[in-house]
Amino acid sequence: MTFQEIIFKLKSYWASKGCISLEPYDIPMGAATFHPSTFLRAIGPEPWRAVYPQPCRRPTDGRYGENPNRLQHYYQLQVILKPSPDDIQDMYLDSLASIGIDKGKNDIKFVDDNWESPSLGAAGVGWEVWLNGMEISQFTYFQQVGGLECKPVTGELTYGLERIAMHLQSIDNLYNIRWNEDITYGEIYMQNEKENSQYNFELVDSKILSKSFDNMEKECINLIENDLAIPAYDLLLQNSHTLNLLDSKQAISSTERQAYILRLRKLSNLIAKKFLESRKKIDFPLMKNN
Amino acid sequence: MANKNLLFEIGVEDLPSKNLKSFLEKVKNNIEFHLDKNSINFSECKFYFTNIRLIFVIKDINDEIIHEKKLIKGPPLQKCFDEKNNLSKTGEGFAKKYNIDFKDLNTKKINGEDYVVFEKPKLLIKTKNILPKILEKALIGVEEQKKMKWGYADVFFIRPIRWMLLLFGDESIKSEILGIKIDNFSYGHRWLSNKKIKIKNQKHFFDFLQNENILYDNVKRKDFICESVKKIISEEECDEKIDEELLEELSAMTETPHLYLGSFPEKYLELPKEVLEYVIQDTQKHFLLYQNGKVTNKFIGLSNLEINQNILNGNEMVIKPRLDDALFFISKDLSNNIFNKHDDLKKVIFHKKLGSLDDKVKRLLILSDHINSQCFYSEGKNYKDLVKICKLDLISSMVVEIPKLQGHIGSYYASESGFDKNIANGIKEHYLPIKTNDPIPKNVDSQIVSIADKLDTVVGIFLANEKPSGTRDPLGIRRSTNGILKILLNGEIYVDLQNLIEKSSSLFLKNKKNLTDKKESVNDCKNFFKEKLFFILKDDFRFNDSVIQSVLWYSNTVDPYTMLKKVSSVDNVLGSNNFTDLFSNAKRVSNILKKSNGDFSSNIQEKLLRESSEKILYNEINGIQGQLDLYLTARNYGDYLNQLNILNKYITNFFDEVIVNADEEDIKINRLSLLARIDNIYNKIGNIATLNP
Repeated sequence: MTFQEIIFKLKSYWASKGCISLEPYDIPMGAATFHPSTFLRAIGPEPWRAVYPQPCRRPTDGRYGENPNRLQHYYQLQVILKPSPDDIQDMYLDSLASIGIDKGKNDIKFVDDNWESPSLGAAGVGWEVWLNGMEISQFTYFQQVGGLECKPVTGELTYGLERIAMHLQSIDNLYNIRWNEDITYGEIYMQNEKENSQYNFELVDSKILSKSFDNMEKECINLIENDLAIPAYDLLLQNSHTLNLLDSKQAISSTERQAYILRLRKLSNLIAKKFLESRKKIDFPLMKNN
Repeated sequence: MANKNLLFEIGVEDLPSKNLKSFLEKVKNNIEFHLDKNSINFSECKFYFTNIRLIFVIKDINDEIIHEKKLIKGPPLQKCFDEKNNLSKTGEGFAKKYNIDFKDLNTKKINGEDYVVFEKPKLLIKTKNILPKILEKALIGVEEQKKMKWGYADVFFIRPIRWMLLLFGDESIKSEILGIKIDNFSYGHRWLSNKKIKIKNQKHFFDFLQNENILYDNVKRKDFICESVKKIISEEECDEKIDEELLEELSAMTETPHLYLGSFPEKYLELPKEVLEYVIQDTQKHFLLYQNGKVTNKFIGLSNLEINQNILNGNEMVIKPRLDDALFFISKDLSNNIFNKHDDLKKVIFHKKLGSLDDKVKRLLILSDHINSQCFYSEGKNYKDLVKICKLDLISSMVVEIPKLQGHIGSYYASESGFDKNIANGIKEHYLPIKTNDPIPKNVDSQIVSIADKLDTVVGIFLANEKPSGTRDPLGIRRSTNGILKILLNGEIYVDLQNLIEKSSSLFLKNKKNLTDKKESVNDCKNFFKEKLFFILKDDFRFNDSVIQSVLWYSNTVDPYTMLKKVSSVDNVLGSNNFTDLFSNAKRVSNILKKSNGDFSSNIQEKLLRESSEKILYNEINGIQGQLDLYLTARNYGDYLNQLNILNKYITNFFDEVIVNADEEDIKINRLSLLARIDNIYNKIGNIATLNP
C-alpha cells in the first residue's frame, strides 16, 4: 500500500464514521493537535467529528536526511471524536484493518501514556499504540484544553503515517517509502530535510525571531482584546513554531524556554476563554445535531 | 436464609500497569468494610485483574439480612407536649425519625415514668438490592490512581468503563453502578474473537474465560510469565536475572501472554550497558539477557498473540533505529568534547531561585574543600577535578535525549576521553546512593563530591523556602538527605552537620540577594536531617523509638554516625540486668532536679558536703571523670556506660542516707548541684532518664 493510499483509506474509513474530511492547516505546527479543528473544537459543548492529515514540524528532530528514522517535517493523520464514543478503541482497530493491519496477526498494545502540552494549557489521559513494538499512534482523552475543563470529553487519535507505511511496505528506511507507485518519500522530501536542517540548526537568526515573537505576542493580545479568538490563535501558532526554531538553534537556555512557554500558555488560555464566549454568543450552533 | 457467591466483572479500556494491585487491594478493603457496616456476612473477598478486566469474587454472602423486632425507647411522655398540650418538637422529632404518626406510638412505664416507645418490626432486607450501592461506594472511595472522564459520562474512573457484569449466585442483577448499566454479558479474547457472550452462571463465566485462553488470575499469570522467561534463559545458557518491576508491569499489560526470544545485531554491544538497558528494557519493555554478568544481544519479549514472523521481525526492527540514534549522539558528544564546555553549564538552570548549574559547581568547589577538611581529615586529593566535570554530561545530547542516563554516560565519556579511572567513575558514583539498596560511593573523592552535591541541593531548597510537604518534594531532597545520611553512617564518617549546613548556606547567601538569610531555614534544615536520621535508625537499623529519641532529641549537634554509636550502645545495655540501676538512678536524679526547678550549674563546694555518702559519691565522680572524658573523646560509648555503671551503688547510698532538700538553703543547693553534675554525665550519651529497662 502506498503512502497516499494509506491517507485515502483512513480518511474514507473515518468519513464513513461521520467525520468531516478536512485538509491540513496552512500554518507550521509541531503536532496535529494544534490545528484549530482540534484545539478550538475541543472547547465547549458542541459535538465535532473530523479527520485530516497534517504535516508537522519538529526542528530539533532534523538529521540532514542522514537518519533513516528521523525527520523535522513529517505527517500525522488526526481524528477528532467529540464526545468520545464508547466503542472508540474498536473503531480504531477497525481503521487499522481498513489499511490491512490485522489485529489477529500483529501484536497490538495500548501502552499507558498521559499527554500534556504546557503551551496549549492542555492535558489528557491515554495510550501510545504499539504495533509489534513500534509506536504507530497516540490515543488521548482530552481532560483539559486551554486551561478549560473538557465537557464533553474529546477523543483524539493520531496516526504516525510514516511508521505505518514502513510497516506495511516492510522497509526500514523512511526515505524509501513509496508515496505512489512511481515516486518515493525521499524523492519528495530529502532535499527539504537537508535544507531545513541547515536552516534550523545553523542559520536561524535568534535576534530576528525573538523580536518576531514579541511582536506577534503584542498583536495576539490586541486581537484577543477585540474578541477575535480565531485570528489570535493563528498568531499563537506562529509563535509556537518560532519558539521551536529558537530551541533547535540552542539559542535559549532552559529557563528562558520555560518563560516562553508560560507566555504561550497565557495566550492559549485567554484564546480558549474568548472562543468559548464567542460560540456561546451565537448559541453554540453545532448543538443542533444533538 | 442461604449463602451465595458474588461475581463482579468490570470491563475497562487498557489500564495503566502501575499501582493496579494496590488500587484493587484498597477497593477490596472498602468492599469488606461496607459489607460489615451493613451486617452482611461473607467468608472471603478476592480479586483478579488483567489489562482490561477487574474481577471481584465474594464468597458465602447471606442473601438476606434480618433485623429482629426491637423496642426503641423514646423521650418521656410529658416532654412530648408543651404547656398548651400541643405536640412538642421532641415528640414530633422522635416520630419523624421512625417515619410514623405520633399517635400510633405506644407508651411504656419505665422506672415509674411513662416513656414513648417505638416497636420496630422484624425487618428483612434482600442483600441483592443493596449490593450495587456497596460496590459503587467501594469503587468511588479509592483515590489511589489518577482518574479521568470520557464522553458525556459524569463519572471518573482510571480508564473508561465498557461493561459491567454482576451475578449474585446465578442470578444476574440489573442495576447501575457509577451510572453504568449492569448486564449479564462479558467479552472474550480481544485480539482473536472479541466475542460478546451472555453469561449464564458463575461457572459458565470462568469456563468461558478458560476456553478463550484468558489468564485472568494475575498471580498465576505472573508465575506463568516468570517460568516461561526462566525456561528461555536456561535454554540460552544466560544468567537468571529477571527484573521484578518489569515482570510485574508486563503481567499487568496482558491477559494472554506469549513469550519469545529476539535479538539485535552484535555491533550495538559496543554501546554502554546503561544505554542498551534503557532502550531494550525501559522503552521497549523486553527482558535483556546477560551472560556471566555481561549484556548479550538477546532479549525476551511478551506478545498478546502466539508468535509469528511478523511480530518477531517488527520487534527486532524497531530497536535498531533507537540504537542508531544512540550511536549518533555518542559520536556527536565525543567529537564535541563536552569536557571542555564548562561555560555551557551557565545555560542549564539548577533551580529558578538558586541559579545555574555553573553557579552550583562554583559553590561545590568551596564546599567540597570544607567537607574534606571537616570530615575526611583532608584525605581527599582529586575531588576538585571531579567537581569540575561531574555535571558536564548534562549538556550532552545523550542526556538531553535520555535524562535517566545522567552520570552513567558521563563516566563512559570520561573514560573514553582518557580521564583517570577514579575520576571517570566518580561522575556516576557521585549520584549514589539513589535507590534503597544502592551502595555508597567507593572512594573518598567521590564521597566528598556526593555529600557536597546533595547538601547544596537540600540547603538550597530550604533557603528558597520550598521544603517538602506531602507529595511536594522539589529536586527530590528527601532522597538527597537520606543519601547523605547513608554515606555518613555506612562510611563511618564523623561530622557536625550544622557546621556543614551553615557553610553551604553562606555560599548561597554570598551571591544570591533574593534569598532571605533566615536562622529558621538552617534550623529547619538541621531538624529535617534529624527526622530522616530517626527513620533510618528505626527502619533500617531497627532500634526502638524511645532509645533513638533519647539520643536524637536531646542533642543539639547532629552528628549522625556518633548518634548511631550512642543509640547502639544504649540499646545494648538497656536490656541487661546489670544496668537496671543505671536507668532507675538516672530517672530518680532527673525527677528530683525537675521538681526543684532551678539552675544548679554552680560549682559544688566541698566544705558543704556533710554526710559521708555524699562525700564518697563526690570523690568517686572525681575519680572516674578523667576516664569518662577519655572514653567520650574516643567515642567509646560502651565503656563509658560501663564506667558510669560503677557509680550506682554510691548513688543508691546517697539517696538512702541523705535528704536532698535539706533545711539550709546552701546545703540543699550544693546537693542539687551534685545531682546536676551526675545528670550532666548521663546526658553526654542521651536523655537516658526517659528509658525504661
